[in-house]
Amino acid sequence: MSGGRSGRGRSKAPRVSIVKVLCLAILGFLFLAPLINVVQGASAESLAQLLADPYILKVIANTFLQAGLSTLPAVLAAIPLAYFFARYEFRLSTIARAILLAPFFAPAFAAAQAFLIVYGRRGVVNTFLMGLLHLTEPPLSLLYSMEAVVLAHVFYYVPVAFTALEAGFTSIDQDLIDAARSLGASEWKTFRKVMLPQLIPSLAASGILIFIYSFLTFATPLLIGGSFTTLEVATYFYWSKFGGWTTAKTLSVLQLGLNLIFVLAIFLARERVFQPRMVAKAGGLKRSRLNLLRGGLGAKALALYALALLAFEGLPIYFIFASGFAGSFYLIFPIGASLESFQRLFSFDFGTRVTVWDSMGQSIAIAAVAALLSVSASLVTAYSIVYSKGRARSVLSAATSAPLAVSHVALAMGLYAVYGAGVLHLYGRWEFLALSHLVLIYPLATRLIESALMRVDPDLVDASLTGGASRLYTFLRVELPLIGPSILAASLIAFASSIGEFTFALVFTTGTLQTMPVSVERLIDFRQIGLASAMTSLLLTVIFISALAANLLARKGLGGISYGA
Amino acid sequence: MELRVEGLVKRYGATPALDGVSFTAESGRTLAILGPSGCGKTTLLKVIAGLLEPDAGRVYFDGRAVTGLSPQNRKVGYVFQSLALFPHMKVRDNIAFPLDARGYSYKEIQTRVRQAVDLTRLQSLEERYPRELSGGQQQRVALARAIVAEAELLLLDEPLASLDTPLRASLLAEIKRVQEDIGITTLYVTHDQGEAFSVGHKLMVMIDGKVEASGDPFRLYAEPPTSRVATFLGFTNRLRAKVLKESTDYVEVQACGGILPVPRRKTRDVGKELQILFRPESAELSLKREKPSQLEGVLKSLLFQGRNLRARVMTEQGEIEATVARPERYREFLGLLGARTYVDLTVEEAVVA
Repeated sequence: MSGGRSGRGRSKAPRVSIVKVLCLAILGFLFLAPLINVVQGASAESLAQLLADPYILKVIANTFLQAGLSTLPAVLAAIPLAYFFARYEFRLSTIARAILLAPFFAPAFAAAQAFLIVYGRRGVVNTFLMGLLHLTEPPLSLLYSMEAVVLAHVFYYVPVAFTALEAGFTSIDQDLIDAARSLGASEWKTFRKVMLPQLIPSLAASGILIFIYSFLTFATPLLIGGSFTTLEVATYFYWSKFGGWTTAKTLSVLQLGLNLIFVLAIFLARERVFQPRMVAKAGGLKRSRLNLLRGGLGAKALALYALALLAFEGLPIYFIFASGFAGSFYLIFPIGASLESFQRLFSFDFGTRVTVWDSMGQSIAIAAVAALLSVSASLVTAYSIVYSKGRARSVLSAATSAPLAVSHVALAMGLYAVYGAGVLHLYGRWEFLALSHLVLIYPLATRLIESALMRVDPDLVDASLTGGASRLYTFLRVELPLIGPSILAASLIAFASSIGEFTFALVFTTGTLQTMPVSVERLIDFRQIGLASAMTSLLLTVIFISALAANLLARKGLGGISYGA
Repeated sequence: MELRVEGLVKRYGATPALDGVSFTAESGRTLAILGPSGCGKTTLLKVIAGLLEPDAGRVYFDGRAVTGLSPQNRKVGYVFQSLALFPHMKVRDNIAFPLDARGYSYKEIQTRVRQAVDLTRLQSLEERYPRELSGGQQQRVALARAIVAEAELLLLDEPLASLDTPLRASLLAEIKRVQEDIGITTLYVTHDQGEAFSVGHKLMVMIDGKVEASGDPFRLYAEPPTSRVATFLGFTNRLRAKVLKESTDYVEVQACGGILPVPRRKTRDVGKELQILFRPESAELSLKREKPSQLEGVLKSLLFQGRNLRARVMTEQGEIEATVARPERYREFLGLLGARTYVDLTVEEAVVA
């Protein structure tokens, strides 16, 4: 085909402006209005006080420190793992991959909860060591410290880096590797000199993502950080416990400013970091069968390493289920599994007007509504991004991604002020929590639908338009059916994200509104670890099934239906 | 319908994909548009179909300006290079799509789809999905979809590019037959000379976003009007020649040790230089000096191409490519590499500029 390839924008798409206006309205309503409220609520006076407070300065330093300490090992640990999975194929590799990805799909509070069960004072590791070494006191005290937070982050974010890096490795042209090997380079040299340089964009992207996620962490330090506090947790305490609106909002603005610095740095470095080093042909890496008997020392070491990481990632999740099905907290191995915890769970009295059944019903209703709304809003947004040109496109794309890098506590304060209190006064209603989840899920769902829409061959749209179809008719009959599986997948992911969401759920909980993650937190507070595990097991089952189905659908969208030539 | 295009300009950044394109396509005829890839052919079709807005210029359907009219209101049948068959629709639904979109009645749709299916010989394939068809069958579905809704103009963008060589000839004949059956004005865009010359009632050569030449295919092939067109059409050899003598029909020129008479189309001054462009197939390698018109040179290399045997001969003006009459003598000629050889040029087939 001749002519420039400036993307989708080059074809005429009439009436895109109506959609664009709608898209801006969604952004303004969901994201901008709450954020502006937070910025307006901050004060310079309070900022000066905060910056003079040694405690706050320590919290800022801690936030940076734990984010850096979490990012580096998570990315480094993922490199050999991703290499191993990209390079070799073996039986059960699909299951191994699913186990490695599971922690990421699990809600953040569940990761912290798993750490309580595994590394707690009376946790699996300590119990095991006490039995082994005949000790009367637990030898390890890991929890309620920065180390615990960092370790939980590494556990939680290795899957993020793994996914990005495996994709990065897999896209490397096999010919380049074969060329390097035939020119006499060893496997290690080939890895270092040919593969690693091409991995820089994936390394940078996953590193930045993990840093931002860790910087904004909330559930982990709250549940297992003890006195170790991050900015997000401090903001929450100023707001909810001390009622310091101005201080909390000023802290949020401070955090936003710090975030803006990263985003700016990323923007400035993007040309150097994110440009692929060389143009690789669409060949891709070929996997070879793993043969441990005949393979070299390298392959054996890699396999052993992968197994260790698989245990690190898989066992905590396993122990949540195990502790849910175990009769008591100490009976962690499901010999004689029982449903006792589940039976007790459903008759548990929280001391509020909410029963366990209510909590589940509310969670499901909120997740369903949030998923439906976010996917609809995302469809509008993705459409206007994909069919925008040049600068408008980058601005829209950046604006819709921004909420991913904004503090949840800040958003919660803004949403509370704008929609929770005031004229609408939605606070305390489940619809309000659904609305706030919509704000969180919307960027993610937009990315999923946007990438599906990008894969639709623009010639198909042109063929429909020249065939006499209107733009709307084309969208309904050509684009929508083609991205159908991806929309369904996005809905499932949205549902799973909402049902496991912790920050908003905790902040907006009331005597009558209490979603499952908050119920889990209450149960942990009541020291009902078995019941908490039972509840999280239920939640994880729903989330994992949704994620699995979403994965299958996404794959169907890619393989089953070809999106044209 | 007569298509007229006037002064079309379309830029992508600084580079123009269309740089003042004007032409007329006669009603009911096929205009073949030939050009190297990246010359702006696809952009031209998209502008005519209304999928792209030109930066300047106008498009007229039967004298009616359609610039600004949306693609859905243009009654254009477009066969995309990628074919752009809807992967989620059966053959029948793909063909019915333009009728559905325009709100034809169910009965009307049935009849027209049947007609289009018969015309493109797709009977018994209607219930299949595009991915279950061969390349040639997919091609015919795209053609059926383009003509089913009484399009007034058929735009074909490299329609055979994705097919294997043996299939191309038969599909080309098929496209010609369908075009003549319904008598639709057709633009056939291709980079392949064979396709362009055989399909077009008229031929237009586009290079770098400009119309370089247009006219009768036979004339263009024999006498390309410009040296760019000549080069693109295979006149790859180029020699400078000095005018020795001028007569009524011929000009006698000297080049590379030969004295040749070339056809005289305009007055030439004795002593000045002119250019001779010729195809390798118009120049035959010879081992002996037989006549004074032969060019001289040293045999540098031989290229066996199966049907042809090409020789590169180093003359005083650089290398030229000539043909060896009998390819089976390849081995015999191999022994002559580096020897002095002669080239017989059929001047009637050459272009003098």
